[in-house]
Amino acid sequence: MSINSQFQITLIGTPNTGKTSLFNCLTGEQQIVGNWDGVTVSLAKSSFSYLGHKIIVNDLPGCYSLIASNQMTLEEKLVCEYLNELRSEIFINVINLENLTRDLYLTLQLLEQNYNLLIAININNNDISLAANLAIKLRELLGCQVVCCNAATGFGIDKLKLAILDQTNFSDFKTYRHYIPAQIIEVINRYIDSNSNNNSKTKISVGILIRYLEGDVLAKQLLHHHQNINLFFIDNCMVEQSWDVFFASQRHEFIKKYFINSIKNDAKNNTNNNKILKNKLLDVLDTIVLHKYLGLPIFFGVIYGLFFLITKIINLTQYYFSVALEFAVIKSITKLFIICDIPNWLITIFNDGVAIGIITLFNFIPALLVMYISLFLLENSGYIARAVVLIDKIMGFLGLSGKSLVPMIIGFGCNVPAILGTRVIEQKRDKIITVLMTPFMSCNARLAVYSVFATAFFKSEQGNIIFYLYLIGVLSAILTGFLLQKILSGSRCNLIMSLPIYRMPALNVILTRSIGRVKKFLIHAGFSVMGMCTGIAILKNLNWAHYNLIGCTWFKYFMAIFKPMGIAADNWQAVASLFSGLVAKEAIIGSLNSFYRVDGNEIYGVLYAKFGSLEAAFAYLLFILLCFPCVSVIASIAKELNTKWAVFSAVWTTSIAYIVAVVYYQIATFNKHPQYSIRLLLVIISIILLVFIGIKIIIKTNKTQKANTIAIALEL
Amino acid sequence: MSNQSIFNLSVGEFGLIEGLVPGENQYYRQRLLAEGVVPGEVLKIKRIAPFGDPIEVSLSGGNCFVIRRTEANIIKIRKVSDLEK
Repeated sequence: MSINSQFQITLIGTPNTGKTSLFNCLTGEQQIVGNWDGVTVSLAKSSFSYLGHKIIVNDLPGCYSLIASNQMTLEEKLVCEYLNELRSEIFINVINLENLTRDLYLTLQLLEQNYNLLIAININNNDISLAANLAIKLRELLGCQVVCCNAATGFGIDKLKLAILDQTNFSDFKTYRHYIPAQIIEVINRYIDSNSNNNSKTKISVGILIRYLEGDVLAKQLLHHHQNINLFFIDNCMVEQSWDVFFASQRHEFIKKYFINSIKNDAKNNTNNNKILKNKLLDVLDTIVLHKYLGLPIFFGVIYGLFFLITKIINLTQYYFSVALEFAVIKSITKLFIICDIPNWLITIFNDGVAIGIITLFNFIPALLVMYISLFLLENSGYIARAVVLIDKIMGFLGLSGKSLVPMIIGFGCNVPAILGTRVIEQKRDKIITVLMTPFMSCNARLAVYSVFATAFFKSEQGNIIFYLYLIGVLSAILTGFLLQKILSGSRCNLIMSLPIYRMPALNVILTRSIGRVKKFLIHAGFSVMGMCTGIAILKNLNWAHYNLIGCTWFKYFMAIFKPMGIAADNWQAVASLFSGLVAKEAIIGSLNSFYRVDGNEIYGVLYAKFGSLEAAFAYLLFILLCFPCVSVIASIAKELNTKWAVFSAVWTTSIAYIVAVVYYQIATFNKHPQYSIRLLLVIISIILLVFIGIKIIIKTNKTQKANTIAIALEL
Repeated sequence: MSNQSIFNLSVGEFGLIEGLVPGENQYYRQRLLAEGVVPGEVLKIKRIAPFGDPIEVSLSGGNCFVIRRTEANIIKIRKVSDLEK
């Protein structure tokens, strides 16, 4: 290899083997690592220099098998597409002792494809002597360089870098001859020889033929002009099972015979009592955590504990944060403005707009931080994988898998981290459904609004009312889930996962990562929240006295929209406050405060007078519960899905909010105006029917499009 | 050779894998094959989640994983009483 050359290497392996950790180790980057499938969702790229060479490293998401199929996850599709284009010269196959069978299976597939492979055994907490023995065997039988390293500590990284540079002289070791019967190899070679004169772009190799026989859709596409492959093989060699089972059996027999059994023997000879005890204890832990009767109660206990902790911390810090910030920052900046002779209107805008924006954003910090830290703790320890298994069946009723529950639980604290947390869900359909269900989970901000109203209107039944509101939120979420799973094509993703070994989470890493996530969020949401707050401040401070608002016709029409919900025509403050809910739902209380112009303690009396009845107040609460989420949530949806879904979510939630509030109010006050109520309810029922018909049409067109899904899948 | 499914096995029991039922879901098949669910392998039911699904199974190679019984129906399996490890 000449000095100052530059070349590419790619990390490839099954999920969770430590590829990304190794990537970070080699390049010094801070890519996100997780104890969870699907953490690396896109291609990461970086580089490092060593002995005068520049080496570009690509980090791929994990994949289990090289055989491309229609139902593959998005990440694995990415891997297959990447491999087909072969942009990298050298591949580092990262394997782990924890799941050796699965890891070596992929290794054998990679070798069949004739890739320039270097094996890196990522040791982690395991025995280095075990790894060293395995390395010797791998070198001998597979003919590749094998390096033992530990991505967590950096051990062996220099050796790895040297090995990368040595990976030039590569020859086709034809490892498959160890486990594929000679007759079959002979037939394969015969086919290649007899067809090599075809004017085809694709050069047929042993690897592609094996993949074709196993049913790889990409291989089928590449070799589609060879129509006689199957016949040729049927004529010349018969196997009892189908080809994919046959090749899999051969590979596993080889792996078991030469590697697994000897590892087991080595382990038996080397074990010390501590390790045996530790393994036994962890097994007992799993028996308890996944216990038939104890499992679910423990899970709910953990969730409740998390919820409780977050609420407590929010209560404690939110007050101090706002008050401290308000006094310190805003007053002093205002003073500075006054000193600098900045015009009054600008100062007011700052006070009412930008300042509130800052406070709102910063109010999120304790919630987000605690949320992320708790989530990372649960995830890194390995508990979340068990939780997924526990509630998988229940989630099945909604067409979702266990993974979808976690974001929704988090949503009860704050929707923003909940939605950002859906990135662990690989299947796009499941992710969309989960993200769209999350805004219906009442966040803490809404709880603040509920408690004020509950105190004003429902003194004795406070707790019940709040519980009903939460319940209605969950029911609406379930309804949304049901409808979406019918509209969005696709079936529930399969469940096949391994439970990671319980680990002690590294607290400093978790802290760094959480702070990083919070920073990213603040930057992203910063612009939107600031803009909204400033806009509202400007609007609020325009001199409305010039316009006789209440007499204005368009204003009358606008208020008429809210009349079916029970908001009286002169209660414009309630409607205006709804819009401040865009900024943050707890801002609704603040706006009502400032609109009615009362001190915090006396608002209850004014509320009762303005709304007029219990039913009107409850309808208003229903609307707040369900309507468009605050702008930070909309921004998160746009980030995790796309803008189209964010808009849909806002429209969908507001429509549901309106319908539920109106239906409730009309039914509750039916006797006061029966005819009006009936007419209104009929209109709403017909709208709902139209929507259902629309949904059914969408479902029908989806079914006829199934034939096209294969083509779409191939386009990757 | 009886064609039982994984539903017939309870916790702690062993099953001899005889093959995979052909079907549409190539991806799931590939995942099972990658884990080692091949004819001749012995599968042990390690534990069952509440409500009966999913289940944790282990193969003689030592690897364990969690699958849903309803999806694992495609594994042709025959119950075997005492078996040497």
